[in-house]
Amino acid sequence: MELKSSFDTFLQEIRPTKNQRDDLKTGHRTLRNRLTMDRKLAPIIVSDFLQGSYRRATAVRPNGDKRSDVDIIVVTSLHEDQYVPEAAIQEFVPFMEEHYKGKYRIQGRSIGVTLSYVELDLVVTSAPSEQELRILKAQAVTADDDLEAAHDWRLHPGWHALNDRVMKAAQVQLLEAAREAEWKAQPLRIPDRDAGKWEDTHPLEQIRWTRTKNASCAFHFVNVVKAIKWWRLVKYSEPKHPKGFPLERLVGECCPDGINSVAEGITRTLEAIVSTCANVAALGQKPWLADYGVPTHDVFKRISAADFAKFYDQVKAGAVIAREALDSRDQKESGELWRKLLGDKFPKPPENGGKKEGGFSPRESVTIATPGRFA
Amino acid sequence: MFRERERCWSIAVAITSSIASEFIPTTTLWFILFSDGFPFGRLAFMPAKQGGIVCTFPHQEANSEGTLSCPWREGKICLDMPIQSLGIVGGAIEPLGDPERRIVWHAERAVRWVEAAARNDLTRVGEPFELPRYPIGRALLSIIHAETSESYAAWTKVRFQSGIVRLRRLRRANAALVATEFQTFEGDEIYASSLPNAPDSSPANEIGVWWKWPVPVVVPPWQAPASWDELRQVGERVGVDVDTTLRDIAARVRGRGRPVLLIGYDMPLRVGSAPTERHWAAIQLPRLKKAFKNSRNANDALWDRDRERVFGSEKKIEYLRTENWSADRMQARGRFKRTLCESNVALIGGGALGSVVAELLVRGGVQQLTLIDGDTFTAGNLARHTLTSADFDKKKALALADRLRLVSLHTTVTGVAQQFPEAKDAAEKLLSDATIVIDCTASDCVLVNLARCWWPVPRLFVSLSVGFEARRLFGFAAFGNTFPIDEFERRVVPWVEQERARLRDSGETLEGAGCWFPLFPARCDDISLAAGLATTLVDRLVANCPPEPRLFVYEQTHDELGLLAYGRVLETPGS
Repeated sequence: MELKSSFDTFLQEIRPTKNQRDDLKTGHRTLRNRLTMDRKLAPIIVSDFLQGSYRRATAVRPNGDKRSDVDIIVVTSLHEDQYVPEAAIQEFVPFMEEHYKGKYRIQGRSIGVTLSYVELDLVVTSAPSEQELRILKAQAVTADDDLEAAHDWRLHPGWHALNDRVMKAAQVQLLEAAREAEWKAQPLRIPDRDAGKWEDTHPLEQIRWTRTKNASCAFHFVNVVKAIKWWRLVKYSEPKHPKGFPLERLVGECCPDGINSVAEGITRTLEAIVSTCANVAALGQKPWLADYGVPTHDVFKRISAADFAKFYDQVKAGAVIAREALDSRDQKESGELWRKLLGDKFPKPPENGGKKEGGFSPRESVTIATPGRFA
Repeated sequence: MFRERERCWSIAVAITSSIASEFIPTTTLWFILFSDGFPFGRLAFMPAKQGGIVCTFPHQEANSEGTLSCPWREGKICLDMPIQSLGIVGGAIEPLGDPERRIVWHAERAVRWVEAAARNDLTRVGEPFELPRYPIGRALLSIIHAETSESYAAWTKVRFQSGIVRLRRLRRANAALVATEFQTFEGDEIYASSLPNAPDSSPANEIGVWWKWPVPVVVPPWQAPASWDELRQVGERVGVDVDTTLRDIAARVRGRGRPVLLIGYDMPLRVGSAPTERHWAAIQLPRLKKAFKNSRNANDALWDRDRERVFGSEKKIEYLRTENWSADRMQARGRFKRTLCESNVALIGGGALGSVVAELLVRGGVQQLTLIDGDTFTAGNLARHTLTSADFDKKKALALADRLRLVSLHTTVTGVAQQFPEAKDAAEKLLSDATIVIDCTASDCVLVNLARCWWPVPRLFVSLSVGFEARRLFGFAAFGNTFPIDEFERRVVPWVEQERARLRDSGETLEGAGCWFPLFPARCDDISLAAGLATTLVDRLVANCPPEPRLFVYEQTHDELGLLAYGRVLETPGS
């Protein structure tokens, strides 16, 4: 059974908490204000925006008390010919000392800033080309609305953040943004893992791809990603990888279009991973998956074949449970199977729910269900 | 003495003022009229025909001669209105019931009126501007327009003094024509007034002429010209060539039935301020014969004839009742805040509560309303609904829309006779233009269907329902791109449990034997109270939109005699 309302509850429990979402928004806003007021940095900052799983609405709540990582891109006008990545990052140190003393650390290619409930992960870019400046400063890029909140997000200069749509002028621009073609953004250049050189990344294309996929899955795709991420988190401590974006990318590759529920999506995605990667797994190898917008990057680069093999077996087992849970006609049995797959955050099925599909609970008295409201 | 013919008592008096003017001598004669019910009832000061004033002043009825046998003219002077120069500014109340004091009260004011008239001081700067009274007579045709300060802005850009007005006949007990569009003689539109619900019977446009004057068209001191000659006098004084204009107007409307002529000028809200609105006085012209041959000689001959027979010296001007039906005027007695009036309201649920809320919103000035309800109106609904037995077996949404179009001249009402769609696309399309969505269905299913939708432009959602016996009103409000049903459930469920318990304890209310489904008890006056409060709540919410979803609960409190008050409940149930 699809158990829609149980899945609704489950998804509420695994998405980031309200505190985490509010903290991120406040933290980002504060950072942005401070950057624009900073005499040294303001001239070299082009834009900054939220990227990553938070923006794509695929982030899950971290286990326990851990803070979740929130990725922010800071677009600078520092040219690659003049600045190696490490030097570009160093430009931010005085600012960090002033505003986030004791709360920041340089970590290879990014700067981590510790807030109350989240950890901001700032990734600095080198100067983009002139044509990109307009879109990088547009609300479609800079707004914090994630894909779940903003159903109509499009990469267009006329798109407005959700809290900026009351004026008629904004509404007219929104119509244009809906009608006209999207901007074809170029990749940005960020430090590689060792901050040794600049390499391509395309967060806007990741957001755009996810938006399109989500729309073709009746808005269930991002929830399928979250559920499968969660399954890996709670069921298996080993191997650590794939997780995060590589796992999300694999789900994106295998989740079929046209699904009608999260339950169907999880089941068919796990089964699709099994079938799609069967050959690769049989050969003891791992798949090659191109990043959105950067076809030369292999998202699975850092995952070992051995890890993938273990992961593949977990998927096989999970697919079987999911299929049983989906096909079961008994609410209690189905609920218990989903719980077995997804953990305790999935609500327990009701005790007397052991009836076949479509049954009503027996009448306890002669009165029928009394309404409580009238109009 | 008692006047048989006029059915009143009359006393002849003389008023002597310290000063005189060209319009008013030092001593003037008057008749005081009393009705049978004195010291209650009518009391009026009328100018005597012999020795009284013959012209019309401000704050006076049109001072025409009246019937031959009557010794007084028709120009009753206004003594019981707040007029600054009479020393009355609100406050002073006419002492009805006390014969001596009442006469003295009127007499003192009459003397002050005469003195102010002589000093030309009857109207003071800052007072509301008063139009002259037009001698309407027995004409049955009315002319309707909808001038406002907004349309005045269109008029300020127009340099022509006259043009065409297109009129449409209304379906009414008395005949009426609505001015729908003002144009230049070349056919260029100046502005079109829209009265969406003015019921019309014929689409055919009738033609009239508008004629703008530079100043109020009055024969001094303050009389609407009663004859064409008086109009010519006014024209001479203010530099308007009446005959040339009339000749030109006549040429434009020859052969077109009985044309209407609108004479207009700009007026301020208060004496001494800048003008804010165009005033029109409508005049009925007789049918003007068209020339067989369109030659100059033929037209000259026709004009000479009409100048004598239609617009001759002694010929009376036939004024028509002219009414301004603009929303500003019709709703001057009270309406909702501008933001609510200009919103596009979608109301889901045209039942007991929804029908009253819809009517209050429309009467209070909302300009766009869409009503969505799939039910049919039956006899059992009569006890608590605005529809009548004339609407039996009609779809509630359509019958309500018909009714509401009769209730307001200015609201565009659309009835959608279907249940709120389950399909997301259909539901989103239905409410795509709404800026306020009001749910009056008390149906969780509808809210589930509503919550599936997402709109790019955020809007205010208000879900209204009442509890057992309509003693409690629940108003849930949220602003955003989608209806937050989780928030709704979290806040409303505890209250609903309480109401369910009350309903269960009270026993079932059955319509009668053989009826299996119990009714929800709620009397019409309780529903009306709740609806009034709910509508006020909507008005306040539009002005102060809640940043987070909120539930407002209001409750009736009673003592042993009955209802005391409707108060806001602040604590949650069970706390």
